Amino acid sequence: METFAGAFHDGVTAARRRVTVRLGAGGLDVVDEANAAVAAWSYDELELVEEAYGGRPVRLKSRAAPDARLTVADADFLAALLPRAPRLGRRDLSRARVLPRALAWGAATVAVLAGIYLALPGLAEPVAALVPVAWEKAWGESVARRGLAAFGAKRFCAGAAGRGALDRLTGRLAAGHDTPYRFTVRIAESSQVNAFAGPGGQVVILRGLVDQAESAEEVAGVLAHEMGHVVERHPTEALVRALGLSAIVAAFVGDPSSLAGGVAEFGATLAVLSYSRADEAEADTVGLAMLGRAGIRADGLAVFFERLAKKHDELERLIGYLSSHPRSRERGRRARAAAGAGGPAMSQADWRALKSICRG
Amino acid sequence: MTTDEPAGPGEAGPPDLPRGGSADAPPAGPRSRISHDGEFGEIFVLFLVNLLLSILTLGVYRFWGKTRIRRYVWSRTSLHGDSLEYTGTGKELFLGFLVALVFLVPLYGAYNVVEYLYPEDLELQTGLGFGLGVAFFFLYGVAVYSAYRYQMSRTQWRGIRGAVAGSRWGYGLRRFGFIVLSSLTLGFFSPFADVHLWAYRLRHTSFGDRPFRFAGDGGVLLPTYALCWLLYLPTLSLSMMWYRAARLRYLLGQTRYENLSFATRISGRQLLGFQLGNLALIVLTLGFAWPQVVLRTARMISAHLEIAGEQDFEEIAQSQAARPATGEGLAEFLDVGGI
Repeated sequence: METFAGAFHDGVTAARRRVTVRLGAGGLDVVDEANAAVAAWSYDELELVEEAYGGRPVRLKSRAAPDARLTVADADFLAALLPRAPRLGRRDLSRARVLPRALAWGAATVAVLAGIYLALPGLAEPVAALVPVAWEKAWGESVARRGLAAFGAKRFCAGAAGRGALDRLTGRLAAGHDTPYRFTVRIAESSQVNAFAGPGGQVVILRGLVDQAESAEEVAGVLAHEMGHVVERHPTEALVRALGLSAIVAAFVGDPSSLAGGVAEFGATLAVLSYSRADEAEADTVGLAMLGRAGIRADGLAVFFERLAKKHDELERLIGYLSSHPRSRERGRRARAAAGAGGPAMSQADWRALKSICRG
Repeated sequence: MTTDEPAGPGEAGPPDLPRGGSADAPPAGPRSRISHDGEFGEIFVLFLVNLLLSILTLGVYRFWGKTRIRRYVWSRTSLHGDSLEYTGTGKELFLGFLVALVFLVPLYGAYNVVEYLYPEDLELQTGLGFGLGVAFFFLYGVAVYSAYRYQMSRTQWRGIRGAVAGSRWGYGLRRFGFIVLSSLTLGFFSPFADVHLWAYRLRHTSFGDRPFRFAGDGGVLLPTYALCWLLYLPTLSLSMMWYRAARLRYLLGQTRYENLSFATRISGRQLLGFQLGNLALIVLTLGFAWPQVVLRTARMISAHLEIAGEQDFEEIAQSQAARPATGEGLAEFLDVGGI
């Protein structure tokens, strides 16, 4: 009969008693130095107090006496005990080796992170398609307001005549296009040169861009491009991607409060998010189709962009638009190629009204 | 050693400890030390497992991972040949988190709702933001005490439990009030605040059926604080490390448990080196060396905590105090820190 030396704590006082442990028929028999019985713990009520590592004392407790503890230092004890109390195997790490485990878990972590990184962009589109339109509209309003703050704008410009001109242009571009969104297009009071789209039909163009434009067709080109993003749900997809990333990071860092505030924060970054080339090309295509159906000259965007690129002295402000709307020569050429047909975007009166929308 | 009747939890300490502290000779009696023998490889594996499973479960697993790591760290820390034991469960931490969620989400939400409904009213938003800031500042103290109470109640040694009485709201209120007072006095109230808060914690802490005892006076630390305060700018705030070391030496030196007394001789330089080392580890490895920081902290404590006195542990009986059911929900939200 195997016996092992151990230490016993009865959980009633903090005294430590030297005991001998015997592996009996139905459980452990614990006797003290005078051979008096101290405890009898049946095997099926035994539990390991913590994970047992190799070469270290084993600590046991029993459901029958939840505060009592039995510690045995002998390395062979656990091996002898396991066949009789197989449930203990769950916390038995005595045969585990550190390096293989570390490598295995490390590799798994890297694989999962890589998988998420690769899969996330692809997942964004189907997930975005599931988002209800009502949510997108609410998000869009929040994004539009946060975008204001991001560009240092305090308000949307409210000149009545300008608003009318803008609404008419938007109506022409949207006509005939089958989309569940009602476009809300506004000019924001900011001297920066940029424009962005938010979920649910929100488009914001900064006054600086209108100032830089030399014809209404250029503004129409920018607007059609942004409306293209909206129609293809790019802003919602970008938001889903960003939320997915922030959820992963929150899990990584263990910070739950960031999940609560996450949605609002990413509204601001959406304004200067750069879409993928595929997204930009899609927006171009849809935008060109809109311009064509509305009978407007289609090269406005290309003209606008080329002129911006030449203006070195205003580089600072322009960097904003250029960096968030990178374009290859390819896209510029396509836009120019489609330019041939098409008329003005709006009347001269409307154009003047739009130019002065922020002054009323 | 004194043999006065020990104070019960919640009462002011008896005047059995001289208030001077620093001038007293260290108590007589055999020395004992806490030892820690955790290994980096083993704790790092736990860290990786926690990381991976937390990502896969969008963060839900982290409560169980944290519990596992604590169980390891506690079980590798021992005194007189017996190691500590952590009896908390992931479920308790998770439930605590859910409870805190129920209360905190409306607070976060209220701010967002107000912002949404009244986007132009900047005064309202700023006022609400300020109010929320104050509320969270107060809640931080509550969270700290709540986490301390939970972890102590889940710590056992030789099967005997720790316990913490007192009120986390009371602690939070005191901490908040003290910080306000310290700001109003350009910081000079800090030594008194530190002593008061430590006293509150210690006097409400017991191991088994016996409480810890503490008697101290912030005035003892005031000269050191004043000196470090004056040197704050020239040393780019590093002088505060010396105050913190002095504070630790004093607070520990005035703490007693039954026949045992505590002390440390840690110096400002050692504390500074320790903190800088941890900072470097975290920054240079983007957080992956955090397990090493945990080990370093445990080794630091065991190297510098001195315990003196002869104690018959058979006298210490099991704690009968009620245990808090869940824990650390607030602490989880407010990023209170610790393991």
